[in-house]
Amino acid sequence: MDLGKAGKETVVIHSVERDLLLPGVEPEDAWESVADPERLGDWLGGDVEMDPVPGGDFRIRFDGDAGERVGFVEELDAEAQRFAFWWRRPEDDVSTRVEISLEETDEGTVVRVLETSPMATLDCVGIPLPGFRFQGPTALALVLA
Amino acid sequence: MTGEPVFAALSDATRRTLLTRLADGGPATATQLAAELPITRQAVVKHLEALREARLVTSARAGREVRYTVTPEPLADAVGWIADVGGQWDSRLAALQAQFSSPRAK
Repeated sequence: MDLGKAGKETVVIHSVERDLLLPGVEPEDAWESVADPERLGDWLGGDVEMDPVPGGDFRIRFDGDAGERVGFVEELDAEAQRFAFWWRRPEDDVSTRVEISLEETDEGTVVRVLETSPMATLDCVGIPLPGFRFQGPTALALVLA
Repeated sequence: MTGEPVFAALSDATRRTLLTRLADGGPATATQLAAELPITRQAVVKHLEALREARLVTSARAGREVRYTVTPEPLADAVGWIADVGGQWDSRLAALQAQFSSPRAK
């Protein structure tokens, strides 16, 4: 089976990844925006409370009436500049995993965000995931997404 | 999260194989699938039933057999999840960018 190979027709449907280059920004400065709850909440769009140890509580109350999410810290690693946590809406049963990591490049610091659904969590423990092939409008929707 | 029952149904490797086969090769009966794949017909029927409960496939009687067809709707839910979550991160990263492009307030 074709595993996780993204292309015109074969698309993995289980995670979202985004990169942002911060030109001229040192990783140490960018890390402040990840590890400091106040600065983190500022760009996540709410008030963050967290206990920055593995298994520690994580909570964000979104600004306005956008609700909240609760979860826990998987790892906040200053040396590796990687922060992983799990969160869910209080009414949901299933959490998703968010990993924010930094990479130093010649142009500046790249912030990488990866949010993963439970299906992909299986992949983390070695259960292979398929790519799905569809023709027609569905394929187009998957590629655009 | 809307994709949840779909993700549960897809947690099994055999079910993913069957779904991929139906998506790639078009509608098929359990007998046809069992002939093509290293799975007994009995196991094929059991897994197809799980996929049908998650609305990932539909079944229709074809003579003495039942023919299974992939339904795109639940996958469209998953696509919706990706679009929602992706859009949220686009907004958040724009806010992060603004932290560094405007004069530092703190």
